[in-house]
Amino acid sequence: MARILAVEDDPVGRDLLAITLQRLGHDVLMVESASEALRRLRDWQPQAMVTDIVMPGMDGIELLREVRADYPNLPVIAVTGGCMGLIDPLAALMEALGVQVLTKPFLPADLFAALERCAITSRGAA
Amino acid sequence: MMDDGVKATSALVRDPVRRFVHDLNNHLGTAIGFSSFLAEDLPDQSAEQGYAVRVLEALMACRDLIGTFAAQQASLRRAAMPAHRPRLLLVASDGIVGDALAVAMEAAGLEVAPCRSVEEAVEILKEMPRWDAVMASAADADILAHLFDHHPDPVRLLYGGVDEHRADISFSAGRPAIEVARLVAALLLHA
Repeated sequence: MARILAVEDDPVGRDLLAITLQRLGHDVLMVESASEALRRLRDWQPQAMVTDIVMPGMDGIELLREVRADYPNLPVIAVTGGCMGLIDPLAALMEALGVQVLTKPFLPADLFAALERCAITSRGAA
Repeated sequence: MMDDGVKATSALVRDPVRRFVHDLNNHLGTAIGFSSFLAEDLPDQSAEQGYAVRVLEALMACRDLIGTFAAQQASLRRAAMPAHRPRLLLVASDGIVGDALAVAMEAAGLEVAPCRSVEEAVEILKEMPRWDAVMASAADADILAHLFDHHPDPVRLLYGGVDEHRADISFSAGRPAIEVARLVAALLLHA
């Protein structure tokens, strides 16, 4: 089990992400904005972060730049509803920031595999 | 926090096709996620589990269709681009501003080479002097004077600064990246 901070502005998407991570066996703290994520990073000290990219206010890119400044080694998975070819510039940018990009829609097994690539393992089945 | 209009993600989601694919994928993600839970949790070999699996398979087929649609759209866009995409050297030591501009410029059809300092830009210009335009953020505007003296051909663009640096065109810092990118693309594509 790992402590995972997850950031998603959409309420339904937030529920889905929380349940998926919990079913994978992780301890999840869900927040609905990037600014709230920055506040909770210090006190909750997650072992990984999963964040949406396109969000109102501070978006995933700004959040990652802030996170990278203080937590350069925190494993991060960015999720986006973007799609092949159409959102390549954004995916390239995220890769340059050293984060994995998971394109929605994805299966729980895809998130499990992405977390495993970050060396985050869980007790749950994918 | 950056103004919504300047954010790289705003540049992407203002495009109607990207927005459509993005939003459709979000809804499809919800349907796929929750139906996969049903398929896992319903009793093995039950009729209900079979129904859930069929729903999930149909949703995955939709996902593939959207992927094909997006790939076709990307291909059409590439085909519609001129054979020679205008090349822009983008000098921005502020990474967030630079990234936002780079993503917006790429989305507008330019070929962008981002760099993070005037020194880096000078080295790039030594090796590759031919650019259609060079854009500098205010903190990196010295590169424009360097261009004026050593490489007079590229169009000199300044973002977020007062025009004291021999820029051909200046954009105010609050101007959305996507709007700046469209103007620069229109200028360079029709030059």
